[in-house]
Amino acid sequence: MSAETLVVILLFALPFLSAAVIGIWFRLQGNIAAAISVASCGVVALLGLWLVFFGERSVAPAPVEWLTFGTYTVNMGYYFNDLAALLLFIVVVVGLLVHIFSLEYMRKDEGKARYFAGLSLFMFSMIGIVFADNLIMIFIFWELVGLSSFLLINHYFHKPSAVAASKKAFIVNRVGDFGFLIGIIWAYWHFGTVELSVLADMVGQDSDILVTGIGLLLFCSALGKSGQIPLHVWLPDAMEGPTPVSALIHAATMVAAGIYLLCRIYFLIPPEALVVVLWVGVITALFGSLCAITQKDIKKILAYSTISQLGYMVAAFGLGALAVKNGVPVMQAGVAAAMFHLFTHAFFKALLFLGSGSIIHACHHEQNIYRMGGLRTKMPVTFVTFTIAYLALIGLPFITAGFFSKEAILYLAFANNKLAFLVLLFSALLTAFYMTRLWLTVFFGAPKSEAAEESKENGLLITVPLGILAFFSIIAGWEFLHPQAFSGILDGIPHPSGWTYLLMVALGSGAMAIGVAAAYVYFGVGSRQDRLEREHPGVYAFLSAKFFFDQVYNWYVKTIQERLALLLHFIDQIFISGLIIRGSAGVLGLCSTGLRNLQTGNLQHYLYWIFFGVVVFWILGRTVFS
Amino acid sequence: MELVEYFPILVQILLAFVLAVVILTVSQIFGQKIRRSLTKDSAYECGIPSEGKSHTRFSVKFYVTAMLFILFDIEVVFLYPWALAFRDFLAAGIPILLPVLFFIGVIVLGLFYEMKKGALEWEK
Amino acid sequence: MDDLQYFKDAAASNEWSLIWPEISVGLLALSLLVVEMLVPKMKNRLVPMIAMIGLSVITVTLVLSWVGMGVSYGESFAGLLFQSGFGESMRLFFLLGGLFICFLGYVTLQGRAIPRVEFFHIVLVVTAALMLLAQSNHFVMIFITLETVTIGFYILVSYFRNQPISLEAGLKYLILGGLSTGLLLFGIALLYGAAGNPQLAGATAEGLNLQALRAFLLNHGDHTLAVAGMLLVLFGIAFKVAVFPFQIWVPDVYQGAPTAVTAFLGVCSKAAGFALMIILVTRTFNVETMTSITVPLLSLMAIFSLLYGNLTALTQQNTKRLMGLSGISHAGFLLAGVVAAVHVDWAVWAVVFYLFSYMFSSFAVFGVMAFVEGKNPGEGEELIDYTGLYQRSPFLGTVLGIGLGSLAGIPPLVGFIGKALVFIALFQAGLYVLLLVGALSVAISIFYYFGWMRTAFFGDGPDTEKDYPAIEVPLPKRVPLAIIAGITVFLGFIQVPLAAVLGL
Repeated sequence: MSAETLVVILLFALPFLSAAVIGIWFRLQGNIAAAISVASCGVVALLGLWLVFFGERSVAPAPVEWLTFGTYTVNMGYYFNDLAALLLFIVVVVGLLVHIFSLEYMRKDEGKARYFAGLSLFMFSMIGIVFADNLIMIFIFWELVGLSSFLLINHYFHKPSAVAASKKAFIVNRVGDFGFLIGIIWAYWHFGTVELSVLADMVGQDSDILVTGIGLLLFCSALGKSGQIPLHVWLPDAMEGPTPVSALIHAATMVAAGIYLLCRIYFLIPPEALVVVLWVGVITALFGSLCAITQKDIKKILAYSTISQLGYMVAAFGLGALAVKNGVPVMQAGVAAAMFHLFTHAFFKALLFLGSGSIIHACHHEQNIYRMGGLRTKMPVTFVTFTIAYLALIGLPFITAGFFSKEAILYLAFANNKLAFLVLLFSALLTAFYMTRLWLTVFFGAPKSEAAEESKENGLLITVPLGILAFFSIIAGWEFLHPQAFSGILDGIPHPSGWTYLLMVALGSGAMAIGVAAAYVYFGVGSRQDRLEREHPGVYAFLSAKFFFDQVYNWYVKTIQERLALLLHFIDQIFISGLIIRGSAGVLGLCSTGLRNLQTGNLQHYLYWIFFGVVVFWILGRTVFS
Repeated sequence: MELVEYFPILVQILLAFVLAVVILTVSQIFGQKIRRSLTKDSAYECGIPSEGKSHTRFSVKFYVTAMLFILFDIEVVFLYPWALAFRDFLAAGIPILLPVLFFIGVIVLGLFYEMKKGALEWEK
Repeated sequence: MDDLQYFKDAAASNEWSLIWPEISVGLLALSLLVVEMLVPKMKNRLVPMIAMIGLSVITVTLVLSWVGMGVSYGESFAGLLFQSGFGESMRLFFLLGGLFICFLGYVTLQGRAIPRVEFFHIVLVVTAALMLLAQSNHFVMIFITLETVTIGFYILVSYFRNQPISLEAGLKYLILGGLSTGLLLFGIALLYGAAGNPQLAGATAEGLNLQALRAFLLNHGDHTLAVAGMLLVLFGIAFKVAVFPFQIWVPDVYQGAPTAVTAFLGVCSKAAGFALMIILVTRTFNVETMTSITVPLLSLMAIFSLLYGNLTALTQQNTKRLMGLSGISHAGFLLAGVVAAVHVDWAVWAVVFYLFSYMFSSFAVFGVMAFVEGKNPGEGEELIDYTGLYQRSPFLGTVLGIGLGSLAGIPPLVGFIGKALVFIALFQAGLYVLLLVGALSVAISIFYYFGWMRTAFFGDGPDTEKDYPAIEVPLPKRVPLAIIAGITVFLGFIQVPLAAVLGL
């Protein structure tokens, strides 16, 4: 066994053991649970970083046979390339920082042990997705991250809204996963295998075997997990979970897993499907930024921003086309741009969430931005780091990471599809608009509530992770710093040159500047009220209704699905349960009582019975059968 | 042998049935009719009405003794042909003594056992 | 002196060393009587110990002798016995069975004013006879060993002679058993008569020898008398294994007999019958003219047994009757395996494996029953007496759960493997109807096995108001039960040891 394999096994085992140990023995000892979980995450981070920077890239060395269905065997192996290394890097770094942050944030929580067990379980499942070398294993870990996300959103289970949100997240994700599962089955039926490396070879030899339907069904997975329209509805509600969870799962890693999966199986998505992917991403990007404008809850704003940014990544992926060089499908610019944005976004969005967590923690769980204000002086570290992340998100030119990655996507769109480019550019403007509104309202002006008044900077356990993330939020975009480890991916980032470059920078920075300026002018500094709501209630109501997705879904569930379910329930009660289950039990019971009457206990009857048996079976033996 | 060959037996059985039926029917038809009464139908017990149960119970000791008797009786019956064949077998070199000694040994052990258990004591 | 030559040959074929286990068990039985005579005061403790230790030593020696010398094969004692791998594995089966019955007897008899030396003596004698039965190759041998077993059981069933219910059971078993013996004997006589008919070509005076009989049947398998004899012999054995329609005695006798005897009857007596079934159906009557009768007939009996046993067990509240009725359905499974073995050779081993699995799992259940029942007749035998057993004694609850789970055929336990093997054999033999009925009856059996388990584990029996006392099981008595339950679980995961013993 090579050192890499051993490390991979440890990466799987440690979080799992941590979750199991906490779940079995330390359900009530929160501090011990936290120590175990953080320690395991620390070791995982060290091992993970070693693997990222020094580990050999390998395709499923020595897979272990795991399950056999008929002629098909599911192997357990891992597939570690630069793509996986990139996501692993994000997962372990952000994961560790969130673990540390949680130590302070969840200090007084009653369900601390439950929380940390959930985090460990999530780490286990996420690492599983990173390494899985076949679609079946991906699917299994896909469901496991869904489960751990469900558990963590549901952390405050005494709050009905949290319960509803977790349920919603789970159910909506199932819709996407259903498509994913059908896609896997279809892929197996069509290609005869679900091993990623084998599939890549097959497609490389003959790209005509691709089927659009399979590609679209596999894309369903990303639709659900990465909150793309129309399955985005769960993500804003998922903010009911603890804020570090939002940072880790619903901003940096799990929601990005959809993009990762697309990049992992990029060779299975034919160009026809890519068009769909592109427009889903573009519309989502626009939609998310529109919705973010009217939100008042700081976390909801960030959630819609996440949806929008994920839309960017999906769109970027959709812009890249499949190409085959020397019989091997190659990573295209789309994959590179998408992963680049995923990489930078993971840091600054996690930072935004953790920053908002720091604010929420300081303001005694106040989340309404119009009840904050003036936090700039009260929480200087949070202010500085949050500002860095804010600048990265809106794409402050030449410094922040977000600028470079967003620029790459915009250029790609410019080069391939002008309409998509315009929409994406507009949503970049909107991004600057709503983020500036948030930033000005929260940090400037006078405190607008007692909680904000009393808030003060948090301790090192919170500020240090913020600082580290701020550091990454800047340098992650500087390409000359990108390590060799990620060259397989990040070298493919598209770069404009000459006039195009100048045009791109000008348009990007221009959109950003317009957005910032408009927000500054329209909302003002440290406003107490939402001017849009006051002056243009119609527009506000339209935007805050979030395009009626929830209403439509509710209507569908209430009128169509519930009625169908009632009908099915009725059929179930009458036919299945009544006639078949209970009926058969009743019939059996009657037979039983009848047959029991044979046992009279009378010896003569028994003798007659045996004689009778001899005669009947004798006759059978002598006549019927012989 | 085919089933047909048992045909005479079937005839025999049928004949027995038929004979019985015929005799009973004939006596019923041609026999003297009697007048029935309660006294005439009652059991006749040498003039005295019966007393107590018709089945008397014997002490279990009788059964035990009888069983033991049969057991040892059979042993003797078993030894008789053995004694007759003993000489010939010995001459032919067939082992005949040791197996029987083992058999007798077991029986003797049984005898001691039942003596110890008190099966042979009539009054205890 | 042809006669003498015959006897000489016969005596020369006597290889006493081959049946040393049976002789040892017999001598062990005799030694118990000696012990009682010599040290009457210590007999209550000493006798069960000697019986159990002796049997264990013989069992271990037997297994070691296989390792050391291998399994002998072939006729001996002038064709009375036939040594084979099958016979050897059944020997082991009956030794293990006898061993556990001694333990159960020790538990059941404790604290009762009932002589106990005789119990162990008879159990040992019956065990020895059972071991010989499995190797017999001659109707005389079969009949004598079977009668030794049956007469032993007549005594054992009515062993609690101060309880009317036990006596009633003994009487019923005696009369119905006598009937079955009559059927068997009549069948043997007909077969012998048919084989000895000088008018037929190939007639033999050795018609009681199974090989000679088979040679005759090869030519005259459709002979009226021979078929009649075969049917009667099968009916006689069907009574011993309690398959439909000869199952009618089972509930009454099982209920009345002491629990240890019920277990003995349910496992070892049944296994003896199936050993005979295998010897006769698959090795003697396996000529084409006869299998055309035996296969459908026995299949029909198996189907009826499966359905009857499971259906009647559904509403049964008395655990002993329940075990008896469920035993009928297990007999149906075994009979199905025997039928499959007519066509598929290895199915014999599926039957033997099923017998072993059935022994381990039902001994686990019977072992628990011995601890739960009370000293008075019928006390602690109803299902409601098991209410909350797991809370009253976690140990007994666990063992019961394992035993019942295995009987029901729940996957990780040995019962599942046994059933699976029989199903595979049925599939290979092309007996799809039997397969279907078998699967159906597994589903039905889960109803009542799980009903029992639910009562024992969750205690929502009909009468939860009554207070049930905790049951203490001292450590030495835990060990055998724990071993049995452990084997049940272990063999469910790893079948290699048993398969190695069976030569699968």
